[in-house]
Amino acid sequence: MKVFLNSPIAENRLIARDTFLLRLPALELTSVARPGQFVNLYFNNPVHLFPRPFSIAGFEDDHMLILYKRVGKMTSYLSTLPIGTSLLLLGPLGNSFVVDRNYPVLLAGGVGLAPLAFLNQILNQEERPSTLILGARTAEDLPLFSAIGEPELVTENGSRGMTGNVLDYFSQLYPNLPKPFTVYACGPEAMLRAIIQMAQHLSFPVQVSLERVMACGLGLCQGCAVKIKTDNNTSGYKLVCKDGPVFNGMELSLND
Amino acid sequence: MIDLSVDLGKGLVLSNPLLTASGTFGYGDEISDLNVFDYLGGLVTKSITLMPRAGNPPPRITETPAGMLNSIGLANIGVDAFLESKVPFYRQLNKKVIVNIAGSKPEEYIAVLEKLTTQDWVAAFEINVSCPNVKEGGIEFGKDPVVLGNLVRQLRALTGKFLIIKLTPNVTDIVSLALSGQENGADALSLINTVYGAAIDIYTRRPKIHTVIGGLSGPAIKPIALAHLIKVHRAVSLPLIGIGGISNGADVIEFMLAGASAVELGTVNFYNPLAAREIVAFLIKYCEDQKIKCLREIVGQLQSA
Ligand SMILES: Cc1cc2nc3c(=O)[nH]c(=O)nc-3n(C[C@H](O)[C@H](O)[C@H](O)COP(=O)(O)OP(=O)(O)OC[C@H]3O[C@@H](n4cnc5c(N)ncnc54)[C@H](O)[C@@H]3O)c2cc1C
Ligand SMILES: Cc1cc2nc3c(=O)[nH]c(=O)nc-3n(C[C@H](O)[C@H](O)[C@H](O)COP(=O)(O)O)c2cc1C
Ligand code: FES
Repeated sequence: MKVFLNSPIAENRLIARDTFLLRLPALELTSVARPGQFVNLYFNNPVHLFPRPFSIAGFEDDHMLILYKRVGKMTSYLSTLPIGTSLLLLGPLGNSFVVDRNYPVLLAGGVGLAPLAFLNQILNQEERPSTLILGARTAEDLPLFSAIGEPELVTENGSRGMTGNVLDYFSQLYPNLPKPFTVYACGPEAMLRAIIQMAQHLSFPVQVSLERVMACGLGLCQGCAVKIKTDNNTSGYKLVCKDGPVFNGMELSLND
Repeated sequence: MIDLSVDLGKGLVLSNPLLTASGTFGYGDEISDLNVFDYLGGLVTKSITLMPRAGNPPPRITETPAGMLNSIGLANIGVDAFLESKVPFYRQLNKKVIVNIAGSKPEEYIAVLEKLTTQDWVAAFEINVSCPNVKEGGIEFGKDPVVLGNLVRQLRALTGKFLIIKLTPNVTDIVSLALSGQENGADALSLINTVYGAAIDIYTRRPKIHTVIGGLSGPAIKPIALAHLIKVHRAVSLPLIGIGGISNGADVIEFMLAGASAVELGTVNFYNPLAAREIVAFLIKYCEDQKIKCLREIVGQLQSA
């Protein structure tokens, strides 16, 4: 059941370079939202019409967390809003990660941490051991906040944690990871493509959370199509907002 | 008690003038949990074609100032799957359901119409003629009065149901097309479909949508839609359904004054899914303030300058 909420900002704090943690009262969502789902934020801006989709990054005391990066017009605007400003949101939208009995390995690239932070929270509540790898360019780019505990860190310049990217770290841990495991990943699309390729070679299950420009987030416009593999070379698409944002990596055709 | 109902003629009465615009409300069942139907006079389905269509490759949409471009490519499940999966939903809806039909040959429109015309829940057909006609070298049906007239005549002969022709604004003389629709048996005209548009990413130097040129919609096109509506209203006697950039109740009044008996809400469904509810509240308030008992009294009441 999707609900509209007018939610006054409880916190809107810079936690890494251009990266903010937003805390919104959202009692109505705490019991229904599942990791991987997202919300639409409506800005009621007459020039920039589309609502902006953001993954639910977890819950703390009936507050919903959103982890967002300042990348353009509305995220810049959002970053200036003071505590108490009311935000109109709709959620929860989209599907969620399907957590199986395998050992969970969570791979997060930058702000792609958001849905995995929520997943990590649920796994912790269920007292299930898991591995969360968080990567970013430098130490200043790592979106760290209390709810995610102590993830394995990796930075491209080695300023914090291991040197390299999330995939490098994952490859290094691979021999020692409990098997069978399932990878849950979110981050830049190049990272997702690489992890899917690796999963194909080494035959482990992978679920990825995708981003596409969305006009509605509700399955109304068919704008957020992503190409999927088909048996007979015909084109087939799924909608990131409705069939996703989480997909089984094996069904996607991300290269075209 | 304010009467918001509108009469499109031939027995098609809507509880209020608000319809959904094709392709902006899915099949209608996607957001049934948001309770928006209570505030609509009816809904128009996305364009249904004879065979299922996967649609165009992405990217399919981009935001533009006060609007958006789309090149969805008529993605839909095809008429057979439509009949198999959506009928129970439309039957229980208790709203007027208008099925929008598209095709690339006259035969395709005809085949879809024939499969649907016997369905009791179909209140009307809306014909999307902004599709390239592969039989006439790819020129859109809605761009040539003779081609359009032939299509309308054939469809008219096959159905007793209410028949709406949806006009494209991408023509030199929309009035000649409106007249062609009227002369060949349409019961109403709806206008406008999207306006040609393009947008370019200056860093990658690539078009922002895959098809390069797409359809512009949203508030950006509202003045264009109103101008077309006024021209057509002066020239034809058919009931008109106004479409293009409507985002609030004042816009609806504007379209009705310009000659629209009803309107369709399109892009607004994306950025304000509760628009219909707000619009109905505005319409009631407007009528009360203006001492109007029946909203339909204002249709075409645009005064001279
Ligand atoms: C399911 C989903 C979950 C997301 N979760 C998060 C998250 O948790 N944290 C986060 O920081 N970002 C997230 N994003 C991306 C976020 O929606 C965009 O960064 C945001 O919409 C940019 O808005 P803007 O006005 O600042 O950017 P703009 O100035 O409009 O454009 C900057 C870039 O943002 C992207 N973008 C713009 N509009 C949209 C849109 N409507 N939908 C998707 N991408 C868009 C475009 O690729 C563009 O290149 C998510 C996207 C999706 C689809
Ligand atoms: C994403 C999208 C998909 C559309 N699909 C269709 C369609 O399948 N058939 C059709 O006749 N019109 C289609 N349209 C056009 C709308 O029905 C409407 O005529 C147009 O968007 C102008 O109205 P608006 O500015 O209120 O959106 C589509 C528009 C959008 C934005
Ligand atoms: S964003 Fe409209 S269908 Fe996905």
